Amino acid sequence: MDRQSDLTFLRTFTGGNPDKIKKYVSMFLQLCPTQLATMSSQLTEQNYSGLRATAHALKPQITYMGIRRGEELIKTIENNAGNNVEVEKLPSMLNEFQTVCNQAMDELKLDIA
Amino acid sequence: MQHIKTIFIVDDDPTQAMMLQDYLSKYSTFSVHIFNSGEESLKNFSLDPQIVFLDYNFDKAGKDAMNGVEILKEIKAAHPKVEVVMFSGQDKIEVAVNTMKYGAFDYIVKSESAFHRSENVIFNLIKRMKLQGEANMYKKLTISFGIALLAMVILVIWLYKTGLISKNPGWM
Repeated sequence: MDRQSDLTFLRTFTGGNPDKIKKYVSMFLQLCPTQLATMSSQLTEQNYSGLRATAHALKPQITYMGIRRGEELIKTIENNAGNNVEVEKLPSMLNEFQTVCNQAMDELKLDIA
Repeated sequence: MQHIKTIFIVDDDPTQAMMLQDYLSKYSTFSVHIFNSGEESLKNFSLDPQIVFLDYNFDKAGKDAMNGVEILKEIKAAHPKVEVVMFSGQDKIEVAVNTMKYGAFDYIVKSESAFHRSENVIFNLIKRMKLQGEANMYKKLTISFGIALLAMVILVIWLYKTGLISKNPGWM
């Protein structure tokens, strides 16, 4: 299975400082599951403006953790939910996004272990 | 506002705020404060910030939280000399234009290059402040020179009128 996350940016950003990398990754690992759960319930409730806002808030962290496929998906989710377009595709997109994030979180946990 | 001493980061995303604070902490001359809402930052303006990095969206801060543009307007109305740099995850040009319309100094999209761009913004502001300082100094010098010249003309006229000097001095 291909890696979903890439810590290249964080390594450069921190100058390779493992404590700082650990700090940012830990913050992401704490934040991401809550945000994913919020997105799921917002989709179930068809609260598309809420879904857009949550996707928007999570987007930079996905970028910093180098989750490229996740970045593409979250941008589309944010756009579709915000503009109410192709909302029928949102469940499958969110499902794939969650799978990608879960795999990325497993990788990141090992990286900072 | 000669120097940048205090910087505010106003963002409801703790990771983003902390990353920017860490990035700027290499410059020990700045004191960087983080606030997770606009309201909280406005309450702390007695700390006298020169630059405010302000998030555009405050969705996490609650439904009643002021949004970035509202906070920007309040800051510029009460503290026009404070420079506000907007931060957003949106790369829409109309969002950037809207914030500039209300007095934002710059607009930075939250991305991998955002931190480096923030640093550049600070250096551009320092450069601008320095130029403004020099321009003010030259303005004061020009005014002082003008006043001195005027005083000399008045003195010559007075001396002439009192007869202390004349058109045909005795030695000629």
